[in-house]
Amino acid sequence: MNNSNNGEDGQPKDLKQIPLWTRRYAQNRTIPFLVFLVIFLLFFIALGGTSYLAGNALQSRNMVAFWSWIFVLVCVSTALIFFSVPGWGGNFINRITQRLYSSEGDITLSTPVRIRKHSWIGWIAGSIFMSCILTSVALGIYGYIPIEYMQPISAIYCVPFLVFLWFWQRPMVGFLSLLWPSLYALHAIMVVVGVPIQFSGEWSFLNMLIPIVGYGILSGLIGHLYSRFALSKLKDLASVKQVNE
Amino acid sequence: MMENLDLIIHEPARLRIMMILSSVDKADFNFLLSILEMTKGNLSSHIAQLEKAGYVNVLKSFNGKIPHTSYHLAENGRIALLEYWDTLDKIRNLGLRI
Repeated sequence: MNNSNNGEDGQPKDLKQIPLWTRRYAQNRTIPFLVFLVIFLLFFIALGGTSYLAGNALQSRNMVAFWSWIFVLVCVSTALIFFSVPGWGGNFINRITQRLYSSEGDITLSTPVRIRKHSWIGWIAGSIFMSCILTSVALGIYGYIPIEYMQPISAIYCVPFLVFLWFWQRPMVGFLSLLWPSLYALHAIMVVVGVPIQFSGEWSFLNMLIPIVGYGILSGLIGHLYSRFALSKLKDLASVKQVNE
Repeated sequence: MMENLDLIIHEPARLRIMMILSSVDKADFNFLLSILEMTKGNLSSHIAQLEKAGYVNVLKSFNGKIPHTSYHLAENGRIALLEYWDTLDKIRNLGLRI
């Protein structure tokens, strides 16, 4: 071992950056979030698809096909419930994540004291958010909210909730987590000012799906790319190989 | 001044291990191995010295049936690391003044 490199190896300022890049890397390990979004996107497609096929079968009075699709629908719904329970779905996502990160190992940031001591604040915020979703969906179904304004109205509660989540979980999550609410808000503003970004007819479901899942996946992918950059920066700073060479 | 430097931390690999652990709650063996690019035996030996000095806590658990080892910077380690940088900065400043 080269003793001239002991500890400081002439670049203590660089070594002092190791905690910064370690934290940035850990904050942007977004694969669990991406796996979660992709699983729920697949559920959304499966539920929509089977409902559509069951409806077609009923219209053509093919009762065998209809009941078969209803059976599939029940199975998909049961699986969705399974994934929605944190203890079950969370464990499954953890296993996938561990496999995907197996070559990089595992790293955990400290849970902030405010979450450990005041978890009730998170529960209240979550309950308010869920109430807002249910209320706006109900108002949309009864025709009080025009379908083209569902996304901008949802932005009124989604954006503050996502910003709250960032604030609440910091420093476990980094600034890139604000990309999702920013894109969601920008989309809502563009809809309100009349930029032609709305889908119509049978594609109108994309008006909500793109801002929720699309921007979520985009933000997750950008976070993942940033974690690759942070990892390479961290390896440059911390690799002992270079010290020994 | 040099004699005040903590020689356990002053070794490059151990200093890097402690710097990584200082910013997180815990990191596992594979993570440290992939970042530091050391051999398993070498890393184990450095961590054993840090553990012996009371600077690092070893957390053993199981992922299903597979044993999993993580490391956490102990409070003693955090204080020692701060003191190490403090001493090193003083030495550097001394050199600049000379």
